[in-house]
Amino acid sequence: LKEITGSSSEQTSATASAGAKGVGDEDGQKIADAAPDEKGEAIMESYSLPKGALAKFIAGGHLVPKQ
Amino acid sequence: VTRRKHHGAIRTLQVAVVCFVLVSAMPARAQLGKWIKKAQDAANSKQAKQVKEGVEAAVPSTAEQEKDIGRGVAARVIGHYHLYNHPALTAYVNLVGATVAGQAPPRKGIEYHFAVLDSDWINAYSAPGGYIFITRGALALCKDESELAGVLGHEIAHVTGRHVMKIIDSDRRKRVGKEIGSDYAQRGPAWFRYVSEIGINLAATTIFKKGLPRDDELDADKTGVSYAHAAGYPADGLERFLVKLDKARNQNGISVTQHTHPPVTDRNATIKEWITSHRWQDSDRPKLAERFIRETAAVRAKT
Repeated sequence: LKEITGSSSEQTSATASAGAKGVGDEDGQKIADAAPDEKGEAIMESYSLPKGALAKFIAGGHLVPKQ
Repeated sequence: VTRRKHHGAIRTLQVAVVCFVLVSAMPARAQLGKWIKKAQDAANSKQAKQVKEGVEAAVPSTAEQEKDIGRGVAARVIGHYHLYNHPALTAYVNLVGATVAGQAPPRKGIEYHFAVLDSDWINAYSAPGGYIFITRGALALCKDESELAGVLGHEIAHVTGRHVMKIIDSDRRKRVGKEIGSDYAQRGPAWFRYVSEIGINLAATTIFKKGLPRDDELDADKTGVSYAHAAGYPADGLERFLVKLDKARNQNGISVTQHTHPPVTDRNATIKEWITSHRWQDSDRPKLAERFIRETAAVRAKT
């Protein structure tokens, strides 16, 4: 999405006016340059849903996906 | 008579010289022929190599190569934000994500992975290879499951459209003939050197700083809406989310540099037109607000 970009001072004012919630987008370069967390990535990649959970979830929401 | 004899002697001498030159030049000519053949072979070999590299670079990256890039980008996103450690919420986001991704055209070797980032910032990201992130802040801004489905649909569409990989493949093509540009079809040393030295940086800078081309963003909006709708959600989830995003931004007086995405007004106009053209408006489909509020209570408690 990345709709909103504010400087750090703008982030402070956003945080102050919105309570605990900051609204904005951090400097993209910082994310691009971040030290990689390969362990975290492996956790994300190895996550799998329990068998049958998806069908149960879809039925529980009365969703009718296109076949 | 004397003049004739003289001419005859000169002629004999000329023939002898020509014969001598021809005979003595034979080894040199043979040598020259060898050199020419060697040069031709070298040229053919170089040409063949260039053709091979050109063909390899023209072929889009494989799914495994795409995942190599995506893993690197995902590791940086997680390194920066950190995963939000809440198994029930992670399961919920994966369930909504899998429901929407189930409507995307299957891509051989690509699976979708969803994670919640521990950040108040309102954002969602996708990396090549199917790595999709949403922040706690973005979840807190969603009002119901259909909005979350719309946001995830947009990110899934970036992966199915290979939007970042098109930029990577274009960069690869420019490097053909250079040492780093060789052996792209295989996941060999040259490829891994490209990934570590160029590919991940290029993908990360594109996603987080430069942004994708406007057309790709609008395409992701339309395609994402289609996936969410095909999954059974109302088509306007993303549109409703973007309205709130714009409002939150204005309320907080944050200056906006929309260098990474088209303005919300343009995006929502495109989405509206897309929905209308497909007659997907005024849907009585479930927004699933109750389930969403229940399953995401943790993010509102924290923010």
